[in-house]
Amino acid sequence: MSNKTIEERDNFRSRFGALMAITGMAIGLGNVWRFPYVLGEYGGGTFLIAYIIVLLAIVIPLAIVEMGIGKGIGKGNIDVYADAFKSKTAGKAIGGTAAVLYTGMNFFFITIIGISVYYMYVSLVGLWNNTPPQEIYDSLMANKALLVVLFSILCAMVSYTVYKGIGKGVESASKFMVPGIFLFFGIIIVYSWTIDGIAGGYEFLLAPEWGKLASLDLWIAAIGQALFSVGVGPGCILVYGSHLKKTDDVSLNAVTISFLDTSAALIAGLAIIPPCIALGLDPGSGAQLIFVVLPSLFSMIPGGQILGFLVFTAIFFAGITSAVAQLEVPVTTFSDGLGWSRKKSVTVFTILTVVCSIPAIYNEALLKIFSDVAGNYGFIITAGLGAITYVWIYGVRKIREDFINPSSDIKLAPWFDVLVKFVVTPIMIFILINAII
Amino acid sequence: MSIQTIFSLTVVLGIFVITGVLLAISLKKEKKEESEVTSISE
Repeated sequence: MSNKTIEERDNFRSRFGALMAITGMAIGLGNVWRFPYVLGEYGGGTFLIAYIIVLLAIVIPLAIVEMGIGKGIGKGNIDVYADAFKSKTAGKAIGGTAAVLYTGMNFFFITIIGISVYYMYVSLVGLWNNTPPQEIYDSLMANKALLVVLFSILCAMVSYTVYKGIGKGVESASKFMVPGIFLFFGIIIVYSWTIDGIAGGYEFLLAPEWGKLASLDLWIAAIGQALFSVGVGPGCILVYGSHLKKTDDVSLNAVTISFLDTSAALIAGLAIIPPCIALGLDPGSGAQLIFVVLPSLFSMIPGGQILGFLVFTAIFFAGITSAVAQLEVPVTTFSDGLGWSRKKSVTVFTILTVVCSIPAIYNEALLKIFSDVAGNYGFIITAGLGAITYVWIYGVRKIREDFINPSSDIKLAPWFDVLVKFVVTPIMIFILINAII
Repeated sequence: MSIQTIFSLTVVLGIFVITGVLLAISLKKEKKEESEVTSISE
């Protein structure tokens, strides 16, 4: 109900649980299959320094603002946009569309998680011992019925988790899955130190190229990667922020989550890329890296079946916690904004996901449309719109004074408003336009 | 491994340490709040 009090909402039960859930939302496949590639391409340590600077100066301030407005208003996208534009119709149109576009990422994303689940099985039985990894991948992609079965099981799992609620579902699942991501990749890193030539892999991934620090491309890549990875703008941090307790420290939470997300990307990169280089494999990026190169890697090292199982489990955890967030955003938004029950919201968006995803499994062109509309353009447009709405229309000063500072140990001063309004938001809009062009 | 790569590795380790410290501060705050609630209710 839109007049539901904040106390009646199903909020996070613990700070650790909230941190794990929001981190789980932020850590996605991009941390595993894109960050290491960009890190290697833009000069390792050089990119890392630029990334940390933009994380601190641009992404964290925006994350604080988005989490602050979510916590302060205590409702989903529709209500926040309605408050900002002083119009329920605008709230429904913009906030509702943003939430639906966000869940649109599940139309192709859950299928990819299904592939990683299949690879957990591939690892356990050591299928790569008698079948070349490319052939395993190609035969799975041709087996549409199996992809539909995997999708259906995972879609049911995601829907059930969200249906159980923020505390019992989303938080409980994230509390063991997110630490699992760190633990499993950590085990691979330690194991990789036994591989001959591993130092060369570290050189490839991390050797800095200082000349690149003057390159605009490096900075654009760093900002783009950080913005997409943490996920500021489209409303996911807002929705999860709306379920925080009133005593939660927004600034500390936003900084911690941003660093956890960065650490997850680094730990995945250190686990995957140096061993590939040491064994003479070209890591590349995307699905090729995860589903072809990694099986090749694990087929070459002793204990590869167990290590492969751990990596694909970590990838599954990273994916499923993001898929849960991609369903939770419209569920919270429509439950708060239109007064739908949680059961109705989950049912409607699960049916929408099934209706769109299954045809996309059989039609690659449709899959590409969903990937472009929801994953690329939808994300970019709603992120830009979100930042403009929170910062310029609702007002960063109001968010800082009313929602962020009262429960934060470190009080943000007025310089924060100037930074976010006149530096951070224009840079973000430039980066988003650049991504579209 | 070159000095420059060791420098980058140090940056990586620094990020891990900062993340751990931030997480520890968050958990400590939560424990403090819980103990305050418990003492008030008692």
